[in-house]
Amino acid sequence: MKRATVEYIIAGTVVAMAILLLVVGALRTHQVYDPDTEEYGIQAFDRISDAELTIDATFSGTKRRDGRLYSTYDRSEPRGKQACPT
Amino acid sequence: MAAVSDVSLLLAARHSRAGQLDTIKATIDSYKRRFTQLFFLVALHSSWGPEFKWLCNPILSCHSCALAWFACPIGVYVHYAGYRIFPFLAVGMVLLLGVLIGRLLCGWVCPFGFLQDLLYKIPTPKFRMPPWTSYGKFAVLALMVVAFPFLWGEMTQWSFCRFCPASAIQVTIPNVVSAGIASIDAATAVKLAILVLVLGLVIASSRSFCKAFCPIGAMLAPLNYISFWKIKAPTEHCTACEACNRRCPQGDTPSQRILDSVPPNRALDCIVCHDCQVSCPHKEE
Repeated sequence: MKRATVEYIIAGTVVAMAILLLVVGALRTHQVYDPDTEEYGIQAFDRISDAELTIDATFSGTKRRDGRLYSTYDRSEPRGKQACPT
Repeated sequence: MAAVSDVSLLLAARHSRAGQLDTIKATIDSYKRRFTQLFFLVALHSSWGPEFKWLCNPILSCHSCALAWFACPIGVYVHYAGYRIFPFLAVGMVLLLGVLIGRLLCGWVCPFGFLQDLLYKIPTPKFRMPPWTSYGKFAVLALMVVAFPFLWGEMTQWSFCRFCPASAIQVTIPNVVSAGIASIDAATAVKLAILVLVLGLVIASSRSFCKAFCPIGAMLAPLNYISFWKIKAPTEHCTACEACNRRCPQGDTPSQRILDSVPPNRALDCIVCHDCQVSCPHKEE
């Protein structure tokens, strides 16, 4: 098989894989707990999309503790531009 | 006799006009990349622009910068590693762009690459990084972007973001300027010291940060081998003059691949700048 053909086959596979990752990412959601809010003794959480978690990652809007994700800001307020502490 | 002399004058004038056009075309070719880099520096870092922070743009530009439009994939990977969640969207985006255009963004869009290109123009003694240093970026990606944040959390002092020279320019320096010298703590001092070292290195060795340390380059580098973007080199006319090797900002040897009839961008270190194509004396044949 010619080199160019092999390249196209591998590239096509990687494109398919990338699209699959994007589709899974678009469909996936995460539970992000509010550290300050409890309802009937149970901690309240928001369900956010992978895109929202990506935005949170740009300013450390979420942190992980004891295997759970916790919000570091009030999600009910308008967010605006935020800087990352790292 | 007069008619013959008129014709020869006309031909000479045409020849000189064609020569002038060639010179103008060559000048445009040589500055095309600089204009593109400048355009994207302004266009993608502007307060009037929209925010697409859910979208990772694989260039070294800190998303903490108030002017940045996109998320930096490295910052997102560091945080996801700390969360212990696989970053489907971020990896999918980088893979897709990488397989479509390889490291074209490194050569034409990355603002830190542009800065390196400009700094290398400073007349000082120059050297080329040894070839083995190009594997350093894979260690940076594996350890400082994935392993350390995974083990010690996204806020670890050993993540790449803590040392990132682009972040130092875009975020740390403006913060120090606004908050005053007294705000400099040990972590900030280390970040600024690394910035100074990196800038010193790139003045002496072309694109040395991209070659040895850039984790985005490490992610995109293997995709250069299969990307749909191919630099067309005049393989059938190659005389192995090595003009392309001398022009290559990465200190690579595209002539070897051109002689093997392989697109010259099929290499780990290639930033797809097209300088090998522009510098080829046989490109018009």
